[in-house]
Amino acid sequence: MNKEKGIISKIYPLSKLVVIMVLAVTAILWGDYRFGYFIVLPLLVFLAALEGKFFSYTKKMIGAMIIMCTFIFIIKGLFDPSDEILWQFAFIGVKKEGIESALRLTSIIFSLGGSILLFFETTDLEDFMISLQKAGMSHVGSFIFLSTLQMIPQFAKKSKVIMQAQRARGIETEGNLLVRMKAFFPMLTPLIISSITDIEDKVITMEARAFSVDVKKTYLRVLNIKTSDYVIVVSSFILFVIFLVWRYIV
Amino acid sequence: MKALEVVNVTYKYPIAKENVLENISFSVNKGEFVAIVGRNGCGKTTLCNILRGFIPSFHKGKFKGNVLINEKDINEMSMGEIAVEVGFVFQNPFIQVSGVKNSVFHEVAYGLENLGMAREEIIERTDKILKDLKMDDLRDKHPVELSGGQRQRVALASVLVMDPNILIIDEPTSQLDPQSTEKVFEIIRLLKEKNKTIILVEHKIDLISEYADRVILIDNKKIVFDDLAKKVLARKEVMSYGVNLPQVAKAGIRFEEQTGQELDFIPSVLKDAISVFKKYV
Repeated sequence: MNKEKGIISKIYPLSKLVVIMVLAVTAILWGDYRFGYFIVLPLLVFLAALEGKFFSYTKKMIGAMIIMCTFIFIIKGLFDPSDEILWQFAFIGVKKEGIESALRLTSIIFSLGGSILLFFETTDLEDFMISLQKAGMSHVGSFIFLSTLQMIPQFAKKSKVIMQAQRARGIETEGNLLVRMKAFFPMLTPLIISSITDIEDKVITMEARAFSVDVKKTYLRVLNIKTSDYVIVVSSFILFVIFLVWRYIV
Repeated sequence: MKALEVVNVTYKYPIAKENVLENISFSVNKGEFVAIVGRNGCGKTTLCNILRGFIPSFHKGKFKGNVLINEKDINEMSMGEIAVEVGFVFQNPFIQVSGVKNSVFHEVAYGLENLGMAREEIIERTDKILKDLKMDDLRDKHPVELSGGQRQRVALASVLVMDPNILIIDEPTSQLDPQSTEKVFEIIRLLKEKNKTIILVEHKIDLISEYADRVILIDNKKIVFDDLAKKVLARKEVMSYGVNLPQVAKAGIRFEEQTGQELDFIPSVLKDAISVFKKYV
């Protein structure tokens, strides 16, 4: 019944989460932007390619990088309090320390964000929920966690529907930034109210599906931890400890 | 034995000025198929929510009266206990997807997972219900990709797979084409044959007259008629409550009005209509 999975998708979700977290934390602790940019990011892209998600992954990453980099480099580069000017264009001075600080910050953000993105790109959410339950998380807790993760795409979908409904009533929703903003704010109230009622409906629906029956739940999906999953976790920890020793003790 | 009993139920929604239902009392015997009819907004869905215990557990407001399931007060039962005994299919097909399953097969099986059933049995029962409802073609589809009608059938399958003894079904065919509607009624007929207790809210009166044992008509907060389907659906005054009559009943009433002749009785199903009109042919 399970669809054919890629090599990364086959890893047990929690093992994968450990690797992702180790990678992200290492990038944060390393402190050098080159680790994030030249090791973590290429590694993430390589893993995504192994999974056959090179294009969808890089597309999302590049999209996020352009937006984040623009803001961070402008703010850090121009408004850093340091004196060392890297480039001077008329009265605008780009500070060297600001650029370095922006590089460090963006490398951490992209390492962390990219890792999390890769995790969700390669993990079936139901598998993740089951693995959390098997790790001791409550049935209710894991369901709420999963539902919360799904809220963002649902919000986006719902907002589109509301926008279309408003357009059908003659409200201008397309055009310049001002027009779009004018259309955006009136959409928030119906979006929030309908989302709240949706949560109520979801609770009732789940009750009709025996959600709160007090028995040990079973799973249709087979999800077992393999030896390779343990090896991945242990190796990640060993590498992380080696990194910590190298970074802080040696 | 009574499967369901409603005693003097009155309910008002939290911000409403008036009661939506007042002093509603009726009971449903085990294996009986009761249809609840009435104009839009008369409180049919509210009544379903009361029967299932969602009112007053989830929807607050002013609630008076008692509901008994298998002669046990619903207040003494947990939501889980009620879920095992009473299946509920909602009117809105778009809220009935759990959101945590990636295929129709897993979506339908979700209730059985919650009941802690063995994996093999889950597969067997889910397979069977999908075949019974002729939904095999949907089994690998993602639930959110389904149309309203498909979701409605998935919702019905998701509840039927749990095999509850009492079924409350709120307008299960509102998004379905005529053929699929007939299929749903056929399934309901099979459920009745299995001695399941069915409470159905529907507007498709011809099908109700064909399949239901009893009809309860609600109007202006109260039960107006509660009798055998063939008796209620042969009464002309039913139409004044915003409920249509079966085509054959309308034909009988018009025949009497136009010819001045009195029929043996006003038929509400095709079979009766044939025998009633035979002597005039």
